[in-house]
Amino acid sequence: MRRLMVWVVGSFAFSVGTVVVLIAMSGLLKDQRNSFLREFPPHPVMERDTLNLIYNSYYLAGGNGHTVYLANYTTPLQVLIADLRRLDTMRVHLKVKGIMDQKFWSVRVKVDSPNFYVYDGAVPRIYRGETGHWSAERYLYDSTYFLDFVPLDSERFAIRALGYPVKENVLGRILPDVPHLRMEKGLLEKQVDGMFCTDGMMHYADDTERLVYLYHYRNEFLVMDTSLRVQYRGHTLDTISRVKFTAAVLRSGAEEVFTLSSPPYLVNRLSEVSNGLLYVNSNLLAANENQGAFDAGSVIDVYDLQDGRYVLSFYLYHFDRSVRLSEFRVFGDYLVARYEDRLVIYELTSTLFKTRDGHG
Amino acid sequence: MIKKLAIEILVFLFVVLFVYAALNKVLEFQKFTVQIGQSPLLTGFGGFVPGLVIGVEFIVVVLLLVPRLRLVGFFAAFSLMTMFTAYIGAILTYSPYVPCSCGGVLEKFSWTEHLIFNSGFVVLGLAGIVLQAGQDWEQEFNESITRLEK
Repeated sequence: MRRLMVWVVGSFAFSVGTVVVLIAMSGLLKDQRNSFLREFPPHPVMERDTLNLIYNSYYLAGGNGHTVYLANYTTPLQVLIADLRRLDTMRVHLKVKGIMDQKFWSVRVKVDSPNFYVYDGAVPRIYRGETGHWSAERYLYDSTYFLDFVPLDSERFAIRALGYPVKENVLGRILPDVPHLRMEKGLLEKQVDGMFCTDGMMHYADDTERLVYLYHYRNEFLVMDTSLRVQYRGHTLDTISRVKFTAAVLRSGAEEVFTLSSPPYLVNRLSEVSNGLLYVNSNLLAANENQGAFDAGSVIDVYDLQDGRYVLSFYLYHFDRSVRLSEFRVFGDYLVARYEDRLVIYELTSTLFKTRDGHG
Repeated sequence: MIKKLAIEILVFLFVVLFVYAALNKVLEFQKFTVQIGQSPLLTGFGGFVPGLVIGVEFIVVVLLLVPRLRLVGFFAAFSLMTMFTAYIGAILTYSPYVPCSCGGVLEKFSWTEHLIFNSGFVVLGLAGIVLQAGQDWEQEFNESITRLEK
């Protein structure tokens, strides 16, 4: 009986021990510090207000210095308008001509006052309307599939699409004049598979007429003009210039599944462009940073888009100490952050946010 | 008699579980390899882990099916389930994200359901060890009695 006990405890210890060794060897417990430095000036942002959205299916669709527009993943034709100062909300129902005649994959809404757009790049469809009446009609030249959609003005749109037959990310524009579609191959640099390795976030700053594309998995961003000519390639603080993951294609019959075959090694999680500044929520810990603070919030690094120079960093702490930042936008002097079903409004108080070519 | 039946049921459960899990991994070997690669706990090991997991699962089945090796089989099953459970616990605690690499319906489990399911099998494995050891001991006792009586 005693011997049996020893064997049971022994096997148990062996099994748990194996996993403990795996943990130890994985480097997950290791200090994850990187070799770059961040600067944290005191109190760059002040928390002003919190708004309970009740549902976590809302997402930031647009806004300006006094109003923020929230669209909803589950009720795509409803928009919630929140006043940033008075904190009252109003719901509007979008009227989109012909939307019931079409099947959609995932309808998204973007508000770029005075226009708004209802689109689904997988159909593809783009509807356009004005925020005054909230009724939209189909944009004529929406014939190409796209993954990301950024209005340059009410007529011209920047898109990111998957190339065919080679499935790689390509940036391009949809224009009212012929040819309506102009893709610019060669802007995004393939490092691994061309699809995941070039994945990133696209923003347009209408004050300076710059289009910015920031990679998710490496430390680079492209700053372009409205014709997608590259002005310069900027770099975020970290040293990850090469994408670290590996990718694979799983084939079964005619079906192809594109996937990563290693951990994702994410570098830039979220980003925003406003007032001539690029805001980046980085996933990497700096050499001079406190691990506790890093884990308690989302670090935002700010760069000047004039020349790509690093300006400062600050934290957006988890809501209720546990809910991580879902997304954020900057409108005028306000930074609007969504944490699942909460909206937190911060004021950008530091003078460092006022740049040479921003309007601050 | 009841003990014997209980052992047979336990063997049956473990054999079904491991054959099902291993076959699923074999049938979608490429997918399984990719998913193992995504695990932050296993990145350093690469190539041989998928084959090893499948191999071990089949070996446990064989051990359980050969009556003389059944006790070893229960120990192996118990250890393997403990390992899987500890692995899930580690992923949930330490990993910044949660990858999944279990075949078939097991993939539909949430990670907490997984943890409960696995813990259940750890307990069953332990039950198997105790019952089988009792059985073996009884048999040994009977055999020595028989020898004495001769």
